[in-house]
Amino acid sequence: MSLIDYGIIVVYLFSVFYIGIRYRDRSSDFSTFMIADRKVGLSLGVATMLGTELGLITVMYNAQTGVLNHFSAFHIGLFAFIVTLAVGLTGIVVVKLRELEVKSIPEYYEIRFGRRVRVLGAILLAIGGILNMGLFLKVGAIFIQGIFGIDPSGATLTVIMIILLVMVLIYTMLGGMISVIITDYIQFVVLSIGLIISVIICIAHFGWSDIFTKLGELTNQSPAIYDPIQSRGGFYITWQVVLGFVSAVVWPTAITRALSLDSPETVKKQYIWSSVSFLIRFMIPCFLGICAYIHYGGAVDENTLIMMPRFLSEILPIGVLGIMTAAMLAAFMSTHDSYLLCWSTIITNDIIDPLCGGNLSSRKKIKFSRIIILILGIYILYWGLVYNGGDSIWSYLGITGAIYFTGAISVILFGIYWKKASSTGAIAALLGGLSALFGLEPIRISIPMISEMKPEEIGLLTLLITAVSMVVFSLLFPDKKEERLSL
Amino acid sequence: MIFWKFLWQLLFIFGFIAFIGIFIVFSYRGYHELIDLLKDRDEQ
Repeated sequence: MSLIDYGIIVVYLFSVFYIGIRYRDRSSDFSTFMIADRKVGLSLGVATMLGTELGLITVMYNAQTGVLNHFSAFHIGLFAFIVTLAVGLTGIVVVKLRELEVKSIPEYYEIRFGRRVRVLGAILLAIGGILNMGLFLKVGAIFIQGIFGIDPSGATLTVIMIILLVMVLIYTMLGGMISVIITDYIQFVVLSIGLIISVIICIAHFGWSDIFTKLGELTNQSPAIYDPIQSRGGFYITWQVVLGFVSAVVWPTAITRALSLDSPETVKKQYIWSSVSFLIRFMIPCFLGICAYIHYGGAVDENTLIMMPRFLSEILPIGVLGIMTAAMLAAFMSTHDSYLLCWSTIITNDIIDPLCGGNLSSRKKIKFSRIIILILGIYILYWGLVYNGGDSIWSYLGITGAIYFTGAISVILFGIYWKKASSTGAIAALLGGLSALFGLEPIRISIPMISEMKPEEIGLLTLLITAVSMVVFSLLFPDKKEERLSL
Repeated sequence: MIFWKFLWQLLFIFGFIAFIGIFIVFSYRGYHELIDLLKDRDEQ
């Protein structure tokens, strides 16, 4: 890496920190801290949604998917595109939540099912979400190792993780949703430029037709490089449809952004436009992963995550490498600040505040949120160092997220569209989501009965359990008429 | 296999061009919205 590249990275990092400090004092109100007073317009919503969703982690795990499954992995992006477009056109779930003017999904639980469901839902959301982001720091550090060509032996990974963590914590704790929106916007611009240039350089480097010819040669013309049914099977594909819906509608970082928008109509428009964002956030990194696979002659290293950044560091010219690295660091910061802010504010707003009788002042809520951000930071450092699962990052993210979202899908969908849904049914569905824990590799392989199952099979089974629990327990234990709210 | 190959090529080209379009439009408009949002906060 040249001095010019280092210069670009340093200038970027200083700029971001300046912004974090500049807007520090503005976040004195909790509603502003969490959802920016619901004043975000369409264009800023689309830009920052992509800024949040196209993080370094997304780029890394999708590149890994490209290395492992080649073009057949594009079906993940295709389903994400179709599902997000359908959400935008119909307004399913998101418009209702925005109309209710809730700040988070657990707030909806309280309106529909009562406070105990809200607190339980928030606890499960926090468990699933925090486990989900447990490997983010490690993946970010692997990227840094790869792109800077740092020797992976010794404690370098830990040192990089600590440096990255300190940067993210300072930034996130200083700001709030306004700062997150600013960073997301900058990240959207810088990362988009970096990705567009990288794709063009990759195509110029290999030649468009040669990419397909060389890939065919390296894989002995296996049909599985294009055909997702042969490559991953029906369960995996079905699971991707569920994940597409979840990423757009139920996942807190996405829905929090939708709830920040200025009107329900804007929410629908944002989802229609963001459908393309949800497509490319899978497809472009996946394409870079495929190019890395071709570049290294199909020699897949044990650490498939590091292939894409190494490849970029070898083919990108001076200046472009700096922009791409700055963009990836921007993506790393943006994802972390969004996630840390999201989980910390949900824990404060939906667990601590209700348990304190709902009387916490904005100032205290922000203070609690900042303390939780710090605790979460220490956790992701610890988890990144101790967790050694062998599943791909995408499978890990899917199954840890499932602890929360399998229950949430049932509770939200039945809650909005089925009048007989009861609070007991909601609790049963939320608790049923915990069975997704069995999908985590270290747990899965230790239980002989499920050791042969794949994460996607356990995820789909969990979803079925939560839906059946919701229906059965709602019918067996209906809410009393005075408790049932008509929404 | 030909069907899938053609589909993914088409999807990639469509996605990439749409991405460039979205980037140009929403980075420009988003910038102005961001400035308005910050001005609004300044006034408060």
